[in-house]
Amino acid sequence: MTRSEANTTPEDLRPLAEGLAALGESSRREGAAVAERVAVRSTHALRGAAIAEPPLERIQRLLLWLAGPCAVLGAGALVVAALAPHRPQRPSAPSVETLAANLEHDIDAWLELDAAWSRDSFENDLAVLSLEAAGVALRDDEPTPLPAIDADS
Amino acid sequence: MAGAESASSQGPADLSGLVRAAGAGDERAWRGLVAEYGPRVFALARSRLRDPDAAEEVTQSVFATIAIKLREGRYTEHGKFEPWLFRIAMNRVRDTVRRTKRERPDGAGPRAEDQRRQPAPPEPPASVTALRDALELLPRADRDIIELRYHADLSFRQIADLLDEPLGTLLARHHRALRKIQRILGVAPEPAAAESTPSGLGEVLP
Repeated sequence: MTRSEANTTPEDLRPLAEGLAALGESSRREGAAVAERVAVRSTHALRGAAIAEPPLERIQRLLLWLAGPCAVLGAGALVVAALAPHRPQRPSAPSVETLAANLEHDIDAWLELDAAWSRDSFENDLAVLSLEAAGVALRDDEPTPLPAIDADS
Repeated sequence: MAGAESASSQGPADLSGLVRAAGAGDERAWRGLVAEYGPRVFALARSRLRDPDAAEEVTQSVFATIAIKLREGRYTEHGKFEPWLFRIAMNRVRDTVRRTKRERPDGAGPRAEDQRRQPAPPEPPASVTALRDALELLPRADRDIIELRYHADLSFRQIADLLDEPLGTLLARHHRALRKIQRILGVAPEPAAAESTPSGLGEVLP
């Protein structure tokens, strides 16, 4: 333990700190032999030669490398599938409720038409519409001279 | 403890010269770097993984990475070689812990087949096992500090740089971590009497 550390560590913790330091020291002694082996092996990396990796590790790295893009693609496909408009798989027959609603709508329309006939203005409106339609049709045709009216007839 | 001493034994100028020379392909400089930091990286990994073979693999992998980065000129944190090196080592150790947990969810020690292949190592003293077990029970942040300090042999200033924390905060956390270990070992006094010397610590610690 350094002097400065001894000053900052409470007295009751010093034996523990010394125990931890001894444990670390013993691991570092064990690591000295490891470091020699590592130095020899890693010099190749320094020179630029590829370090021989166990094939299994290389495959694991490749799989890990591929996992990211695959996950992104999968997530994208899921989002597209979720957002796509849902089309029915096969044409389905209209339900009874739909048919009943359509029928009711038609009956209402007919009743409204029937009620409209009872008003005089409706008949007049129809006549005006017919005349206007006829006028439009005549304008579209080539103008033909009206036959002279025989005063005697 | 050699914390400050060994870090300062390699002066900043020496160290940066060594790093530069190694990056230029000087094998002698490289071997010097590995001889200085290899045992410390190994001790860090050994404490966390509790498996010497796995710790050696991690050490090998860390120095291969360092060599490649130096060779390719990708070491840019000039003047902070140690925090840089140990950040790589910490990340590699964490990756290995995660992978080991995935492969062996029971969290068992070295793989059974590996143990069968090699002769069983001599049993460590009970005090060492007790200390290693106590470290296992620490929260990860506390354990990082203890292992960086006592196994990787970094100074508190370097640990503060590495963990990006103010020095005062780090010292307080270190102190609390020691207290936790003391309590785990069952030799801690009650908090009120924490300043008194505990009895029985000498029986547990080497």
